[in-house]
Amino acid sequence: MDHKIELKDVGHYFDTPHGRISLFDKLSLSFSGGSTHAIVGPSGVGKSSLLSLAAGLELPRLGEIIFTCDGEQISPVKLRQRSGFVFQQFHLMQELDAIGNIALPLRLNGNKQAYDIAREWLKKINLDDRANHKPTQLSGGEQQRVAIARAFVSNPAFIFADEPTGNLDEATSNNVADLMFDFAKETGSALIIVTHSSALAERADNCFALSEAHLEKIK
Amino acid sequence: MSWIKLALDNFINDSKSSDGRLVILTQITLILFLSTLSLTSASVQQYLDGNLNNMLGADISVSGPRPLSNSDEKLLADKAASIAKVQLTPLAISLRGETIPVQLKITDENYPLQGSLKIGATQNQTIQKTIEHGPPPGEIWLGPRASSKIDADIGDRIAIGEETFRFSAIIYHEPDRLMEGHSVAMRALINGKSLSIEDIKSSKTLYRYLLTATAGQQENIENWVSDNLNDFTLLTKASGDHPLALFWQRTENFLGLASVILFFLAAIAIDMANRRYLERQKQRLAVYLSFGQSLASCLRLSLLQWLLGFLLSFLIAIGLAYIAQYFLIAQLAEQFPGITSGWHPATIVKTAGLIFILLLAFQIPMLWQLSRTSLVSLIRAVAYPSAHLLRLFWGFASISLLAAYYSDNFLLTGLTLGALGAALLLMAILSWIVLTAGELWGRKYPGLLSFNFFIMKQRILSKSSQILGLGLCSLLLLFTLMLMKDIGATMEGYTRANNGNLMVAELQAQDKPVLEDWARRNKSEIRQLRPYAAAKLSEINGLSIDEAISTPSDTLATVKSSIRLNWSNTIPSNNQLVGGKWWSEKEANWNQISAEDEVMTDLGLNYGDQLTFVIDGKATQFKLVASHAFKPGGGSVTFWFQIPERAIEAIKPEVFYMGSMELPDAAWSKLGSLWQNHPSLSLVPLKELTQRFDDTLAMITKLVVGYAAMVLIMTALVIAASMKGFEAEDRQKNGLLMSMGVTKKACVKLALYDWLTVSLIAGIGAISGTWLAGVLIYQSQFSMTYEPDPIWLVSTMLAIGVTVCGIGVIYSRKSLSTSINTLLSE
Repeated sequence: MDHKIELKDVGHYFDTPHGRISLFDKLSLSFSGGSTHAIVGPSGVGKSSLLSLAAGLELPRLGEIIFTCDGEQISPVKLRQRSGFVFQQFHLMQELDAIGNIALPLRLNGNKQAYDIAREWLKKINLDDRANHKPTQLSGGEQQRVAIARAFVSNPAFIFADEPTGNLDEATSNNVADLMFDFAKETGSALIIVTHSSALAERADNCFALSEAHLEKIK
Repeated sequence: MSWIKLALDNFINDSKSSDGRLVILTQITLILFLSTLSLTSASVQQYLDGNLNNMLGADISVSGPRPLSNSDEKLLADKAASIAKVQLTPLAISLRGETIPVQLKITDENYPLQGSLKIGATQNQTIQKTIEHGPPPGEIWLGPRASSKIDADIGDRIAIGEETFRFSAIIYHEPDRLMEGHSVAMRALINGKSLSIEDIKSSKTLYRYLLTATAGQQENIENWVSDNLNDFTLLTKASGDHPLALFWQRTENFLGLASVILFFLAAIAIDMANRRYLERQKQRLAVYLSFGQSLASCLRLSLLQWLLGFLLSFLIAIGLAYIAQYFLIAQLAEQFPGITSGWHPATIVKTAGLIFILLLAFQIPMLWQLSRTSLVSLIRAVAYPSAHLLRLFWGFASISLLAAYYSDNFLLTGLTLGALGAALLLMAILSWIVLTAGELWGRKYPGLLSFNFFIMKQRILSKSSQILGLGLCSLLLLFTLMLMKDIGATMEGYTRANNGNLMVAELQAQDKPVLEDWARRNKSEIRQLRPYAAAKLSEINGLSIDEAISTPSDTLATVKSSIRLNWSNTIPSNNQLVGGKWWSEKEANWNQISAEDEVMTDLGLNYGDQLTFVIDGKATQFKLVASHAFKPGGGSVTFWFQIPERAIEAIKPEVFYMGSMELPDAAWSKLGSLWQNHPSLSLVPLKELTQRFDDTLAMITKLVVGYAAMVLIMTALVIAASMKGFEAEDRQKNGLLMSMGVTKKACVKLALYDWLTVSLIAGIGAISGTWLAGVLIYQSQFSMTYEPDPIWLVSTMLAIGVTVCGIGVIYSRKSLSTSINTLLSE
C-alpha cells in the first residue's frame, strides 16, 4: 500500500479585518498509508487547519504538500476520492435513516449493492436493529458509530477524523475509538485523527504534538 | 440512474419540509396562472385566426361610412374577381306590438363570396343547415337572441316600419360576423331587394364591399383604396389585423403585466423559502464532498433535484390549467361566440420553456452560492460570500426580461417596475434609518424595545430582505385592491351619469319633429338633444392615423371607425375649456376644432395639429385650437370633437341628433308604435344601458377579482415564506433569551416589537409605492384621474399590517414552547 501525504515546510495563516492570525510556520511531516496517526495539542493552535491541509481541502500559504496514492503523485481532488471523514458534529443527513446514511457514499458511486453492504456495516457497529432510525432517534455515540461506518464503507486510502470523540463521554469514546482503529486495521486505511484526548492519541502508531511554537513527534 | 434515484430521494425528503412544500406551492401557483393565461390566449388566437382564414367571407373587405359612388364601385368591381355589397344599419323591428333594436345586415345575391351561412329553424343550436347565400327577397332571418327576445316563431311576419317580412330562419353564423368587432347587438339579415335602403340613414350605417381577388389584384386594390378612399378600412386575410385581435391584444397586455407582478411575488416567496433550503443543501453538498464526490457532480445532483421539483409542479399546474381554461373559455363565449378550449401543445411547450428558464434563472444565485460549498465548513466555521446583490440583480434582470417578453406596452411596464423599484429603495433606506436610530436611542434607554432594535440592527441584512418582501407584497396587493375599487367606481360613475330614463342614441333630422310631437303627446320631457354629423378622422398632420399614432388605446380603436362631430359657437354648458382658445361666433375661419382633453392625451395631439375628417365622403381639414372636458350638471351628452357652427353651414352634412328623455310610466307602452313607424330611431332605455354597463362591469370585476385572488394567494405564500425562512433565527434567539431567564411573555412582546417594526417600514413603503404607481399609471394608462384616498389606503394597510403582526406573534408563541429544547438539542 504505497500511499503517503507529505507536508514540506508548510506555513498557514488567516487574514482578518483586524489583522493576520498566524497558525504555524515551516512544518514538515508525513502520514504514510496503512498506519494510524494522531495530532494533539491545545485549542487554537491550528490542529483542524492542519487536518484540512493534509486532506487537501485547503492550500497552504507557504510550503508544499505532496499526495501519493499507489506510488503515483495525485492532486488534492483525486485524494478526496480516496478519503473518508469523521467529524466532531457527526454531520449525518437528518432526513436519512442509519442505513441510508451508510449507503449514501456507495449510492453516489453508483454501487447497486449499496444497501446490502451498508447492512453488513450496520452489523459491524452493532446497530443492525436500528437500521431505520433517523439520526434524531439515535444517541450521540450511535450517531458517531454510523458516521464511522459511513467513512469506511467505500474503503478509502485515508480517513481524516476531526475530534471524533469530542462530543462523547469516556465509555462511548472508547467504544468509538475501538471501532475506528479496528476498521483501519481491517481495511488497511490510514487514519489521521485530530484530538484532545491523550488516551485516543496513545492508540495511534504515530503521534504529533502541535503547539504555538512547533510540531513535535512524540511517538 | 442511481443519481436520478438519489435526486428523487432528496427531493421527496425536502418536500416533507415546510420550505420545500412552500417552494412547490409557489411554483404551482405561478405555472398555473401563466399556463392558464397562455392556453386561454391560444384558444382565443386560434379562434380569431380561424375566423380570419375561413370566415372573412372574402379575400378582401373594404368598409366605410358611406356607399361608394357608382363609378368607384364599378372600378372596384373591375379590379376584383367578384364583389358583394353589404350594408349594416341599426334599426328597430316589431312583432305583435313588441319592438326591439337590431343590427340589420342588408345583403345582395352574391353574399357571401367565400364560406357559408349556418341557419336553423329552432333555438336549438345543434340543428343547423349550411347554406351558400343570404335570405331571398321578402324574408328576414333573425339572430337567436333577437328571435327569442321578440318571441318570434318561423312564419311570423316581422315589421320594419310599414313593411313586413316573413321570418324564415334563425341565423347562427355569418362568415363576416367578426368584422363587427365585439358587438353584442341583436342581429337580423335581409335581402337588399326587400328594402329600399336609400330611405334608411344612420350615422352608424356601415357599407362593406367584400371582394375576391388574386394576389396581384389584391395589391392593386390595396393601393387604389389607400389612394382614393381614405375614409374606408381595408382588411385582407393576409394582414391578420382584425378588430377583435386588437381588443384581445390589449387584454393580453394587461394580463401580461399582471403575470409580471405575480412573478415578482413568486420570486420573493421562492427567495425567502430558499434561505433555509440553501443552508441544508450546502451541508448536504459538503457531506457529499467528504465522500470524494466532485463539486460538479454535487451541483448536477442539486440541479437534477430542482428539475424534479419543477416537473412535479409543472404536471400538477398544467392539469389544473386545462381545467381553468375550460371554465374561462365558457366565460368568454359571450364575447367570442363559438369559441372552444383546446390542448395547444406548442403553446404549452413554449410557456413551459419560458417558465423553466425564468425559474432556473432564480436558481442561479443559489447555484453560485452552492458552488462555493466547502468541506472545510464541516470542520470549522467558514464565512460564505453573501449573494444579496447577485440575487437582487438576477431577480430584477429576469423579471425585466419577462416583462419585455409579455408586454408591448413598455411605458406601463416601465412605470410599474419603476414604482416598485422606487418603493424598494425607500424601504431599504428606511430600514437602515429606523434600525440605526432605534439602536442609538436604545443605548440610552435600555429595555425590551431597545434590545429589539439592537438585535434587528445586528441582523439588518436578513431583516431588510424580510421587510422588502413583505413591503412589495403589500404594495402589489394594495395597488390591485385600489385599482379594482377605482375601476368599479369609475364604471359605476359612467352608468349613473345619464340624465333621463331613455337615451336617444340617434335621431335623423327629419324624425326630430316626430319625436318632439310624440313627447308632447305622451307627457315626456326631452332633456337634451344635440346635433352631430358622422365623421371619420383620416389624417393627422397629413399622415394616416396608423402612421401618426403608434400607442394602442381604446380611443385610437374608436376613432378608427366613424365618430360623432358636434358643433357649437359657445362652450356647451356641460363642458369646460381645459386649454387653448375657443372660437368666437363672428370668426370667419371655421376650420377650427376642439378635442376632449383625454382624447388629446390618448392620441398624443397638440394644439396647432391639422386634423382631416371625412364627412359624407368629403375631406375637410381642421386646426386643433382648444381642448374641453366634461362638466357635470348640464346633461350627459358630450362629444369628443366639436367645431364652429359656421363649418356646418359650409359642409352641409347629414344631421343627426342624440340626447336623453324622461318618460313617465304610461308612455313606455306607447314607445313601440313610435319605433315601428320610425325604425331608424335608435332609442336605448336606461335600464338596458345600465344592464350593458353592468355586464361589462361584471366581466371586469370577475377578471380583477380572479387576479386579486391570485395576488392574495401569492401574498400568503410570501408571508408564510418570510416566517418560515426566519424561524430558525427566531427560535435560536428566543431559546437564548429564555435560557437567560427572560419570561415567555417578554419574548412574545419582543416578537411583537419585531413584527411591528417590520410592518411599519413595509407599510410606509407600500403606501408610498402605491401612491407613486397611482400617480404614474392611472392617468397615462387607464385615463383615470388619480385621487388618493388616504383614509382607505391607511386603513387597508393597517388591516394587512395587523394580520401580518397577528399571525407573526401567534407563530412566535407556538415556536416558544420548543425553543429551549431545540437549543439544547442543537
